[in-house]
Amino acid sequence: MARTFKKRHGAPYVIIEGCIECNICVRVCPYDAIFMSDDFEIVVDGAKCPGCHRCYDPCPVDAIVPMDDPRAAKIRDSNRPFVLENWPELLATQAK
Amino acid sequence: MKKFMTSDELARDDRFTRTPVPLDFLMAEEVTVEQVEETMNMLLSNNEMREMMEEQGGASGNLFKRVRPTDDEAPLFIKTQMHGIFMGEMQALEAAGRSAWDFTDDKELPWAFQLDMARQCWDETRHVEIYSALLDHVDARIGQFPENLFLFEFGCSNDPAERVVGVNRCLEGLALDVFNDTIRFGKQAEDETIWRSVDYVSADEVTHVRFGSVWSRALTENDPKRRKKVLDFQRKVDRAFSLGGLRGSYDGANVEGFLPLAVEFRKLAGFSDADIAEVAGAAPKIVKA
Amino acid sequence: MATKKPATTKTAKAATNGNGSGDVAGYGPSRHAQPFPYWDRRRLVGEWTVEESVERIVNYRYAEQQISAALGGWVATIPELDVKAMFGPHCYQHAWACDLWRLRLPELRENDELRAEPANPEFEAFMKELTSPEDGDLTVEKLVGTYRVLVPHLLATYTFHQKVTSDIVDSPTVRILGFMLADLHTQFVEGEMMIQDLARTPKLRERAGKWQTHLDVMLAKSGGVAGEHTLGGRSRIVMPGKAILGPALRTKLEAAGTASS
Repeated sequence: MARTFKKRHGAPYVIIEGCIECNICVRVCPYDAIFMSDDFEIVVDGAKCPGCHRCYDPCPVDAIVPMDDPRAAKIRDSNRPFVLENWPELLATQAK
Repeated sequence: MKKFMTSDELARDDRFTRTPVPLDFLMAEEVTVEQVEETMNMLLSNNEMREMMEEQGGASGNLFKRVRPTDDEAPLFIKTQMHGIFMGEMQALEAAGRSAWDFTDDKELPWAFQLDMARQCWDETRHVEIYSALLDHVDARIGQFPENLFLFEFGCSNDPAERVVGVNRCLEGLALDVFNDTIRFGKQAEDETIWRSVDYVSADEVTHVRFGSVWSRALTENDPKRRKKVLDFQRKVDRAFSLGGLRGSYDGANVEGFLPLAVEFRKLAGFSDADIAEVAGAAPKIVKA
Repeated sequence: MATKKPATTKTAKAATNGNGSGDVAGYGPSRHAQPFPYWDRRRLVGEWTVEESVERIVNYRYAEQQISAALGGWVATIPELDVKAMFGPHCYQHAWACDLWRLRLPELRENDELRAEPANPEFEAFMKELTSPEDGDLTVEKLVGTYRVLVPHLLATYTFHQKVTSDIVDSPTVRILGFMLADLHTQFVEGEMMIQDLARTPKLRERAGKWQTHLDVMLAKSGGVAGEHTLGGRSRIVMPGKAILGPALRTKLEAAGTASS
């Protein structure tokens, strides 16, 4: 059973280029915010991800970064599903 | 030589002992404390190991605790860890070798598939050699602890797309996860032999996971039905490899499911309150609702 | 850079070797050499045409692919840990050789780079027999088939190929054969050491010998990995030092007074 979050820790995370789909982030996410899509792509559901950072260290190829990381620029602008567009406002209101 | 073999056909010399694959436990949607205890005792049904655990005041629950090099349980932890990985590498070697052999009659399978599997076979051989040297390094020996064949059992499907997902993504993905812990332990212990050698193994595993991702995608291209089937298979194997949810919790994930179970289990196993508090402390630092 | 008039033979006297040391016989522009140094004894024409080379390579690919897969498959069936660990890298070395042949095929005008075919049904039967041992107590047979029959045969065949093909026109093949031969030499030694270490009793030696003879006979019936002419049998080799001009061309050149004697 996944936890639901009430407080945002930071910007939600996104998967960037270089992901090898090892699924470690899927396994370690306590919020079930990361999953593999039917197209075998690892996706972070921005609405569920509180930016807890739990997935960051275990990634063996550094392919998961917070939305406010410069490396996430391409994904930020890509209009993909599950990318949380209003995260800056949410971050401002949901953080402690 | 026939195509496809079952896990109980894997050849071993007589140093090795085996414990049965706990199918029901691994496939259960939810597990109870009693099931965990029963399964762990079965997996560790080896007199020498029991004696070592008793000597060190530990129990099978040690396997799921983040042990530091300074802890009393550290010698047993690192020996069982190295032995477990050694056996895992052996099964990965056998699985990769069988992937190179089992599908040679499949005319639709590209040559590069066999080439990648052969490459993995070589890499896994190195890993077996490396971990056998590391077993020496931590004063353990081959066959000291029992082997469980669940990695091969679950990873090896007769469908090549499922095979690469089971072996290359799930098994090798699990290995990456475990190696993170081993490298961390080696660094904490300032043991360069451990962390520097495992560091290279970990780099190889990234390549193998990539093989899995490339091939699972390529072999299910334009076939959503097959892709769905492969994805379902992956979820099944991932669930099995999470050891009833215990594995994911090692890094503090799956908190709701694991923590109460772990605490209960540790109480049963005679852990002190301090130990239990430490487990609870391993959870993500998230304010409860 | 400013353009400079190149030093020709006419101006050779004024030319230097770049160090201002003046003209040196046989050095710099005064050296009228062929692209081949004096000691280079490579031959222009080798044993096979492009098409004949392709057919052999297709046969080699078949053998390499089969033995690589078998070594991989055997790993799980072998209880001896040292043999398991030996088969792993050799499995890849044969796959790599197979892949090097794949890369060479299009360079030889073969559009289907994945062609891998046995030379004849007899060789196919031989490979099937070689890869047939399965049980855990047949390690000696698996070793003997690989390291006393197939690997020495490939060593001989590839060495033959390397020696009789032209090392000028077919030098890419000669080069990759060098890589493969290096691997095969190592495999041969490692395999033989393992056999000698494992088959220590007279009974095991006898078993090893019987299986080796059985496979050798099958291999001989097939003629080898490339069939009847695996190790030659055609006398079309142009020996070093012999004239290599065709008669018609020679006549024409002689008429023009340009043919060398």
